[in-house]
Amino acid sequence: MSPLPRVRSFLSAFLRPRRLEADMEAEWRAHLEAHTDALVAAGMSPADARRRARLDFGDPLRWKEQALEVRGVGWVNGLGADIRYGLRQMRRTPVFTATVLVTLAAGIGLNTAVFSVIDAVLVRSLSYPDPERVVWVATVDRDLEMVVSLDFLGWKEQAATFDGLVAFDTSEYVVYTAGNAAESRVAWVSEDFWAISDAKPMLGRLPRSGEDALVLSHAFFVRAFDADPAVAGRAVTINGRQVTIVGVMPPGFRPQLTKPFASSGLPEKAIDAYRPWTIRPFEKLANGISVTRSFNVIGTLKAGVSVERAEADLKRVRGLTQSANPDFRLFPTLRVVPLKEKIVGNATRPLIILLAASGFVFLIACANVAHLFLARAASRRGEVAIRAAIGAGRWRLSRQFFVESALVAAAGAVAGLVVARWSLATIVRILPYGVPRLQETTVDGRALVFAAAAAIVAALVFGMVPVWSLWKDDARGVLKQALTGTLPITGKLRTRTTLVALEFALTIVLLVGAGLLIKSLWRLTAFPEGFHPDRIVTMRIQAVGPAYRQEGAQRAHAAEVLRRVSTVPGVRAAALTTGRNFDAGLIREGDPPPKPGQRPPQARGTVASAGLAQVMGLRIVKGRWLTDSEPSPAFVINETLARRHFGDSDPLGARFAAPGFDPNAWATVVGVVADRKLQKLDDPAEPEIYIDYAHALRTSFSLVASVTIDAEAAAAEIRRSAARVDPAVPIFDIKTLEAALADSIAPYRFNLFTFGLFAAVALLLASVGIYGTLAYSLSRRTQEIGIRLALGAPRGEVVGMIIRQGMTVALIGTLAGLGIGAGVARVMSGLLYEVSPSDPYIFAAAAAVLLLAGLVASLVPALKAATLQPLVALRHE
Amino acid sequence: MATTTELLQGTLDLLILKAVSLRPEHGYGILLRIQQISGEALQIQQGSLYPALYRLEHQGLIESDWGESENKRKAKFYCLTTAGRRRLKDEAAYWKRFSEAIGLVLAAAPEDL
Repeated sequence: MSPLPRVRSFLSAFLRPRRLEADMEAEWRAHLEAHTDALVAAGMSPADARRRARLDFGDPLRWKEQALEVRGVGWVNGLGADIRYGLRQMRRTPVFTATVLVTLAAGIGLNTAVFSVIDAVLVRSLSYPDPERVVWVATVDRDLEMVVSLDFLGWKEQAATFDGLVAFDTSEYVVYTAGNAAESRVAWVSEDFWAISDAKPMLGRLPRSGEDALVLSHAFFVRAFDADPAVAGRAVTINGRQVTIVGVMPPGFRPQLTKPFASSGLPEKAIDAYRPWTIRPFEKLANGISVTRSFNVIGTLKAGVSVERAEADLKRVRGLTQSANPDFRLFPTLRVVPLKEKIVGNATRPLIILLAASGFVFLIACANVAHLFLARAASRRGEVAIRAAIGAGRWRLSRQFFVESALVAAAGAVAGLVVARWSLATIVRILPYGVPRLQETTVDGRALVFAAAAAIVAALVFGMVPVWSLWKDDARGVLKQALTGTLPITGKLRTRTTLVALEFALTIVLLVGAGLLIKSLWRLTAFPEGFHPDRIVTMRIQAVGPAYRQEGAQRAHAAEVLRRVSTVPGVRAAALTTGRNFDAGLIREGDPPPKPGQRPPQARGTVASAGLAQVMGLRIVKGRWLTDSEPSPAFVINETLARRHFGDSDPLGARFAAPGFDPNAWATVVGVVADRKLQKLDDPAEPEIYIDYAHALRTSFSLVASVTIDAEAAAAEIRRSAARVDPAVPIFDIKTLEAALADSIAPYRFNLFTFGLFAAVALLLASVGIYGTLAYSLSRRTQEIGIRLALGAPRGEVVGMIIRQGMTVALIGTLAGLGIGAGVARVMSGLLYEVSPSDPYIFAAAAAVLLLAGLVASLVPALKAATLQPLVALRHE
Repeated sequence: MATTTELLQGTLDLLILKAVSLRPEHGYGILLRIQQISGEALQIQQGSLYPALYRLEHQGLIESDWGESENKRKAKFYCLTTAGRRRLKDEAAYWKRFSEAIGLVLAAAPEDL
C-alpha cells in the first residue's frame, strides 16, 4: 500500500486542523439532519427526533478525538491541551509568571546580546572575499606604526607573495553639493582596493586608473543624496576641489578599513565615501619641501602563502629599497599580521570574560526560576497525586510539566530578544568604540537560534527539577496526605538552599569583577582638583576651499571664530588648539644635529592660543604664557620637560628648532607650566610643549571653550556664532571634553558597563532568590511559628531565627564565591588598570554589598513572621 | 445475544468497504446500508462510523468528496479507490473461506470427527 495518502492526510490534519474540524462538523451536521428527517418521517415529533438523533450519534467529542488519532495527530491535540493548560496556569498566577519572565528575559537577553557581540567581533569573518588571506602590513618605530611610500612602492613592484596591496588613510571632509554640505569620512584607497574588496558598484562604475573621483557608500548615498539615482556623474566639491561621483556601493559593502586604535588615537567612524589614491615616492608641497607620505597598508596574500613567508618576502624587498635610497631611513621593524587579529586581537580576552560573566547571570536566572517552579510544584503535589491516581502516567505528567516550563521559557526567549536588541542598541549608542566592530553587531538569525537554544536549556534545567521530585514521590502516600491535609511541610528545602548558595557564590564573583573594573575606571578618570571637563566644550574647525588657499587665510578665519566665540554669553574663556596630537622632536640650538637613525628627544606638542591656559587651568610656574601676537616663534614647556632637559638651569630664553614651526626659525621658551594630567593620574607625566598658534604650521584647529552655563546649550550657541563667520566652513565633533576623554578610554568603560550591568542583575536575582526561599519556607512553617508564638517565644527570637536561616545560606555562598572570585580576578588582570586583581578592599566591599542585600531580602519575610497573630497562624493550613 | 454483537473492527471495515463499493455513499447512507446488510443484527453508535471512515481514508482505501444528497442536502460522499477495491476483494475472499470453514465445522456430524 502506498504511504502517500497517509502522509497527505497527516499533513493536512497537522497543518490545517481548523479546516479539518469544520469539515467533520459539517459532515456530522448533515448526518444528524438526515437521521432526524428519517425519524420524523417515521412519525416522531421534530423535537423528539432531534434529541433521539443526537443520542444515536453519541458523543461528538469522543469521535473527534478518535478521528484525530487515526490520522496520527492525536498527540498534537494532547499537546494542544497541555499548552492550553499551561497558558491557563500562567494566567492564573500572574505574579509568578511575571517574575519568571523578567528573570528569564534578563538571563536570556543579556546572553543573546553578548553572543551577538562575540559573533560580530570574533566569529564573523571580515567583509573581504578571502578574509583569511587579508593581512595588515606595517613598519614600526616605537609607538608609530605606518608605512611610507618608498616601502609601499617597493613592495608593489617586487613582492611576489601578494595578490594585492592597498595603501589607505581616512579623514574627515565636507562634501559640498549644490546648496548642501555634508560631513563625511572619506577613505583614500590605492588601486588594488577595488580588486581585493571585490567592489561591485550598485550604481555607476568604479574609478578608472589615475582618475580623481568619489565612490559613495550606500549609507552616505541615502543620508546626503536622498538615494537619488542621478547622483552618479554629478560633480561635488571636496577639500576645495571638484570631484565627480562615479558610483555608489551596495548596502552590504563594508570592508574593514579601520586604522588600529593605537595609531589613530581616536576611534573610527563608518566610511562614507572612497576616493582613489595614487601613491608617489615623494610629493612636493606648496612651499617646495619634498615629503614622503605615510599611511596604512593591507594586502591579500596569494593563495597558500603563509604570513611568515610574506613577511620574509617583504623584508627582502625592504633591503633593496633601503640600498636604493641610502639617505632615507626606513622604519626599523616590519610587522605582518592577519587583519582580523589586528582589528579584534585585543578584544578577544575581554569578550571571553564577558561571555563567562553573562553565563553566570544565566545560571543564576535558571536557578531562580527553578526555585519558583519548585515552590509551585510543591504546592501542586496534591493535584499531581490526584491526576496520577485517576490514570495519568508519569510520562504524561512529565510532559505536562515540561510543556509548562517550555512555554515560559519560550516567552522568556521572546522577551529576551527584546532585551538583547535594546541593550545592544544602548551599548552601541553610548559606547560605540568600546569594542572594535561593535557597530557591526546585530541581533540576527543566529542570535535567534542562540536565544532558542538558551531557552531550551533553561526549560530543561528548571522544568526538570520539579519533574524529578515528582518521580521520586510515592503517589499513593502523597494522595493520602493531600486528602487529609497532612502533606509534609519540609518540601524540597535542601534543594532550594543549595540553589540559593550557588546563586550567591556566582554573584560574588561578578561583584568582585565589577568592583575591580570600577576601581580601574576611577583610576583612569580621576580628574585633577578644580578641573571640570564637563564644563569645557571642544569642536573642530577646518576651513578649506578656494577662499582659503592663500597663506594665513585659514588662521585668520580661526582667529575670527575665536574672537566671536569669546563674546558668546556663558563662555568664560575660549582658545584655539590642536589638542596633544603630535610628537615633536626637539633640537636645541647649539646641539649637534641628530645622527641618521637617532631620534631627537621627543615631546607631545600642542598648538595653543592665549586663552588655553585659562580654559584648561594650566598653572604658570615660571616666565609667562603665550600671547596671540608673539613677534617671533615662542613656546611654553611643562615641568617634566624642563626637569629632563635643563635640570637646575633656567630654561627661559633657550631656543629650539621644532617641527610644527617654520623649520628655518628658532623658537624661544618663554614660560614653564605645571604638569597637568587629565587622565591616568598615576602614570608619570610626559614631556610637553605648547606652541604659539600664530607661528605654527597648522591649518585646522580645535576650539575649546570653558563655559559657565549648561554645556549643551552653550555648544549650540557657540556653533551658531562660529558658523556666522563663514557658513561654508564645517564645525565637527562638538562635544564636552568629558565626552572626548571618555571616548579615549571606551574599552574600559565598555567592560565596566557590561560587567556592572551583569553584577547588578545578578545581585537582584540573588536577593529575589533568598527572599523567595525564605518566604516559601515561612509559608510552610506558619503553623510552627504560630505555636512558638503561642507558647511565648519572643518576636525578636522569631525574627532572628528567620534571618539566621537566610544569612547562613548567604554566608556559605559568599565564602565559596570569594574563592572562585580570586581565581576569576586573576584571569581579569589584563582588563584592569593600576588595580591589583587581589585588592582586598574590593573583595571586602563586594562581600559586604552582597551580604547586605541578603540581609535586606531576609528582613522582609522575617518581619512578616514577627507580626503573625498566633491564632491566625495556628489555623493556617 | 446476536442483536448486540460487539462489532469487530475488521468487520466494520469490511462492511464499510462493501457499502461504498456499490456506489458513492455518504455517511448516513453507509450506516443505513450496513444496518440493511446485517439485518439490524449489528448495532453501533452512529458517530463511531466516522473514525472508521477516516481511518480507511487515511489508509487510502476510500476517498471522499462533497456532493449533494438525494434530498438536496450537502453531504460528503465516499467511494472506493483502486487499493480499496483490491482490499475488499481480498477481505471478502478471506471471509468467505473463513465462514465456509466454520460452516464445515458446524455441519460436521460426530461420526466425521
